[in-house]
Amino acid sequence: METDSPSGGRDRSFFYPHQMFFECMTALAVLAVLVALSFVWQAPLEEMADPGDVTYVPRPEWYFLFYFQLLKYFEGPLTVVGTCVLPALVFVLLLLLPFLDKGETVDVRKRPVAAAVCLAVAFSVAGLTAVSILEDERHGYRMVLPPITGEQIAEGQDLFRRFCQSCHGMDGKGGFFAPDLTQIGSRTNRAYIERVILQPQIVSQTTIMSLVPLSDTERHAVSAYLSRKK
Amino acid sequence: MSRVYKFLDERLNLTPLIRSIADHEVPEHADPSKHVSAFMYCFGGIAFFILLLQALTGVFLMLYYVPSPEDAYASVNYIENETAFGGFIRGIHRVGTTAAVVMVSLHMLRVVLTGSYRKPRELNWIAGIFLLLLVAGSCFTGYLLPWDQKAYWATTVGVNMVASIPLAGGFLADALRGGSEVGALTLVRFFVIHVMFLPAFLVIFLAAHFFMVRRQGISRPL
Amino acid sequence: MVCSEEKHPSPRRRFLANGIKALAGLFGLGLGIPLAGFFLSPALKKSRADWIEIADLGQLRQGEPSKITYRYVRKDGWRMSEARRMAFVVRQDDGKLVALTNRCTHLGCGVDWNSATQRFTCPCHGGAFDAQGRVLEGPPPEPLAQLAVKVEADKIFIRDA
Repeated sequence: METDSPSGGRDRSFFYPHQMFFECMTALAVLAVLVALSFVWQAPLEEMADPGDVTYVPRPEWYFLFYFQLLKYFEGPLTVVGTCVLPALVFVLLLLLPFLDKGETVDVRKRPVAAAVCLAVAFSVAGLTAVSILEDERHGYRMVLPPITGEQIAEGQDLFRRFCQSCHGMDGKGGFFAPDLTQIGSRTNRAYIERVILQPQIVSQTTIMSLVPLSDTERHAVSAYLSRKK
Repeated sequence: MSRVYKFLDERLNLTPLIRSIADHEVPEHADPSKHVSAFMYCFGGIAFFILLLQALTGVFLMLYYVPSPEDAYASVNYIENETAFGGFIRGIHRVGTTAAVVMVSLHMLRVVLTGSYRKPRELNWIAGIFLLLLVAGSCFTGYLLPWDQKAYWATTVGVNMVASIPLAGGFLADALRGGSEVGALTLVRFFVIHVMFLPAFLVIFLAAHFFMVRRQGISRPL
Repeated sequence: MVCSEEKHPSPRRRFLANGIKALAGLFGLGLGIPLAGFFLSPALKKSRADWIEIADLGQLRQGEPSKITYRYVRKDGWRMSEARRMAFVVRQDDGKLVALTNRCTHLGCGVDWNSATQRFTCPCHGGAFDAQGRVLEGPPPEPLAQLAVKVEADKIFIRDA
């Protein structure tokens, strides 16, 4: 590799030591950032895997969320479009990119193919990721539940008497229209209870349970109360 | 130090080799001491560095990790809570996956923006796409290893996606899982794929990637 | 390509070369200490042994060591494993109890009490110990290791010393 820089001698940079110095600095900086981030985002370790727990809502790591979201738009026989056809098309497109985007100029505005592919991929990945996060937020899948306190349980019991008892019976013993909740805490987890309160249809499409107007803290109290019923 | 070097040099004639690496000239547009924009050219190097870090922390995590449904969770828990620096090393390995994905993406973006994949570098771009897939595969297989709820169910969903491929999908999914359900065989498979198969391919493709960079030089923006 | 500055490096070159050494050192420390600590942590951790009940006082034989096999739960990494071990309990002349391991101090073979010869003999290299664990003959460099013993309510407890 020759350089067209007219200045020889002192100003020339070589792999050693010039480039290597920068690389060492960068490596050290990257390590420092990784260490800092690993303290901010502690590596999670949830409960041990339980193949019998059907209430668990799995979510992939953030960089696969877009793919995960994509699958929601293809149902039945079209599933394959989301899982294979589209990813395969994108893969082939990326492989062929150098052969589609020929020419001399580097100016992106004059390279329609590269610009289109780049924008399409970037926007669909970013868009799908965002939609996925927002949907989960709305359905309560990403809830961070506060730790259960005695006060919360008392408040939850109070709220239960006001809003739920008419159907679910005294202390959740069950009624004509609504199931027994006295052992709900041993059957399912708190996050699932929260999601049912937010969206009763996830239990059954034909449920007659109505949306109860609870604030977030009130809902957390009710779920705390119910999850302790074992 | 210099005596050891002299001993080796007299026998292996190292100097020309070292000179050719050390005195390789850095093109001006990729030299961070001359142009600030040269930072664009370091994403690939950072991605490589992160992969090295992943390999290093990964090897050390294997000192304690056991890929069996009975032991996996407990051994990760042991790493996290009962070893010195266990949480630190697992933390780096975990954050490293995110960092690798980000850096590989930025590196690809830079290559597209500078049109660097054009002739004669098409093959290197293709090698790069395969590297992207290998990194994604490593992320996916590594996810199962702690054997917690998230791991188990995310893998169940992930492998079921494979099952939706027409004709061969069901068979492929069973091959990947080592059966019809995620279980002990799946865990060992994913572990071996994560620590042996994929790293082996990564080494091969990275070697090709670097060989081509060295042969063709860093592309110059026009 | 031969670098003309090789013999007389410019100040910038020297600065960068030293910088590389410093950065590499920092890097080695930052990563090397955690990795080494991680590797060594089982060896550095002090495990505290618990008292284990092994027998009743009445089970001891008079005049010679009693072989006692006992079970104990060992913390083995992340799992608790039950293991079997053997110890000899012998009453000294002054009435104090001594518990000896059955591991020969030579290379760790299991020794056994031979009532005919009144000595512990090792099946591997012919080491022999007396009833108190002192070396009588053979290659063992030191007496049989003693375990801490205590007696509470006529039960014998031992603990790794």
